[in-house]
Amino acid sequence: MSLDLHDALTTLAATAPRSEPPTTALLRRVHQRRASRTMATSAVGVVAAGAAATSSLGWWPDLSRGPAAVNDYHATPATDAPVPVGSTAPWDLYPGASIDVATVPTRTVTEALAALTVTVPMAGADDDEEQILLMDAADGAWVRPEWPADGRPLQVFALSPDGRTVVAWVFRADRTPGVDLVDVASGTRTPVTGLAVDGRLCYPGAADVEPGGATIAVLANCGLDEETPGETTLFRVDPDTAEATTVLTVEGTDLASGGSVEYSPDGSLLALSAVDVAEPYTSRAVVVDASGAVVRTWPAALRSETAWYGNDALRASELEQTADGEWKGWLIPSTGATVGEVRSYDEQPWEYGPAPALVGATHGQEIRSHTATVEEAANPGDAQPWAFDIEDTATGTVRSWLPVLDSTAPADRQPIVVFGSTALAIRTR
Amino acid sequence: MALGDGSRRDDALVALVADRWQSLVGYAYLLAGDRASAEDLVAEAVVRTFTARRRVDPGAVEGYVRRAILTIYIDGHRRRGRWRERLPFIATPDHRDGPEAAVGEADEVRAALAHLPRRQRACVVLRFYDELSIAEVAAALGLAEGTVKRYLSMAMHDLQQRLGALAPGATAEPVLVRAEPVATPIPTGDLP
Repeated sequence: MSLDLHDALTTLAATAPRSEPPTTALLRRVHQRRASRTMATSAVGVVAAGAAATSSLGWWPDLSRGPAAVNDYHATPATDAPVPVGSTAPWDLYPGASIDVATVPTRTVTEALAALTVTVPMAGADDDEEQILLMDAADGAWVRPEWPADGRPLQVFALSPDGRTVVAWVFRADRTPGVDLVDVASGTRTPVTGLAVDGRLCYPGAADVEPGGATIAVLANCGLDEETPGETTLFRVDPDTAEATTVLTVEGTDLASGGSVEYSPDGSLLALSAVDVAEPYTSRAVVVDASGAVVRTWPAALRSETAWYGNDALRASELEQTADGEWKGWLIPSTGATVGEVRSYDEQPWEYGPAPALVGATHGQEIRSHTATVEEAANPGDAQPWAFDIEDTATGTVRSWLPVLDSTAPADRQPIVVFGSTALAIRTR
Repeated sequence: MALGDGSRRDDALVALVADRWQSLVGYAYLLAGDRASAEDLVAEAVVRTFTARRRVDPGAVEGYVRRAILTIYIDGHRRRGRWRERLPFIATPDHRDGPEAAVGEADEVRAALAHLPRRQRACVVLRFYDELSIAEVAAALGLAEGTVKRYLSMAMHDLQQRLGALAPGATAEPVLVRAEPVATPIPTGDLP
């Protein structure tokens, strides 16, 4: 009797050993992967020239179509003209349209205004290759730093206020993740030590440099393995010694969806975000003071891909889910800017990695959420839904915000602004 | 509506693995030949699908995953090393097939398939399990139709040696005529 191959293969497939789907592990892997990509796009350390701040960069250069074609899905016209270095316009957007990575020159950079990880598809490969570009303070041009080839992928976490050190995520030769402090001029990497808790591996997810450059905050998942989610741990790193010390652990959370950490403009507070390890994977935000004490925590009222984006990267945030189930992003820009509503994600080619860049956002006269203004928030009577007041609304800029909701009731959906500042400038000269 | 945001994608992932995990593992099992590798293939395919930058049509998500399974398999896991390098904390459990492993005819088929080079095996699965045409198999694997024919011819010759006569539906296909000369050595193993 001859064998019917189709039937035999069907039987073989059907008799494959039973297997339970590792749903939680898969979700974690997916989230981690997304976080990795988000990292590549959102972790843009931007320093300002003097009082100027340049930003945007909230995009993912698409190199598969030749010169990076980005920002092609904005509701508003793009502002293509670069902001001259030294401009005093705090929220004008830096060249928003594109970087032609293929033609970016390679040269030594002594001081950078911004650092950016771009992802370059490799011919014939499914994976991408990360490359770091720097905005040279000498002329404001994007360049590829003349760093020695290392082979270990780097992704930018942050840039020091003096523009001379990149804080980068890296995989070491022993295949453990870590953080390196990379000298901008030479490319010399100094590994951060001490990113461990009780000997458990820590996977760094975010970092920020204190505006004065005195410390570096690193947020990491510690203790991850296949079955056990990690715990979100905040480290403080001495930039001189590259030694990390544990500040606190946020139990019951991890960085599955890409946590965030950011200093307040005066360096006195840190805000971080993490996600519960248990369903429904609620986002949580924690504000920590200089001593490491938790000032406040919030459970987010909605599921969000990322709990918060800093304005450094001028990102949209998923602040609202409409009754129709659509997500709307909102921008809370700086001085006097009106909220820029990002189109519903369903209306644009939203994909993981790139968040909508808000090129062309109008900078008006007030800082506003969709339901309240900062001025209102400064009034104690109206401050309930807000975490912090913006102290100087006349010149105040919002460096970052936290789209955490205190209520799921649509009428109460109000984002909390975390940090107000009189200047966006991270670097001091 | 495409899967555009994290929540929807997560929901779709959960639904997919809840409903189709075993089927996907079965498909991967045809290629990989053992449970651990099959699970690994499916898991990586799921992760790749749900982290892709492209938008994913929820109605076609299983197709994306199956295609990803095939791609990863054909790719010889070469790049998986790189992928895993980035996720060192996610180790694949060292599953071993237990006594529930397939026995009898299915096991013989599995053993026979295991002797086939990777691309020949993929051709067999696509042609005789997915029932794709030669042109479709060629398109799926990025090969010339003539190459697919040669792979199938050699694969069928090998399978017949191990399993005995195959049903006419397989062997009667002109493309499977073993007498077809092979002018050049047929590359085997991983794709470049």
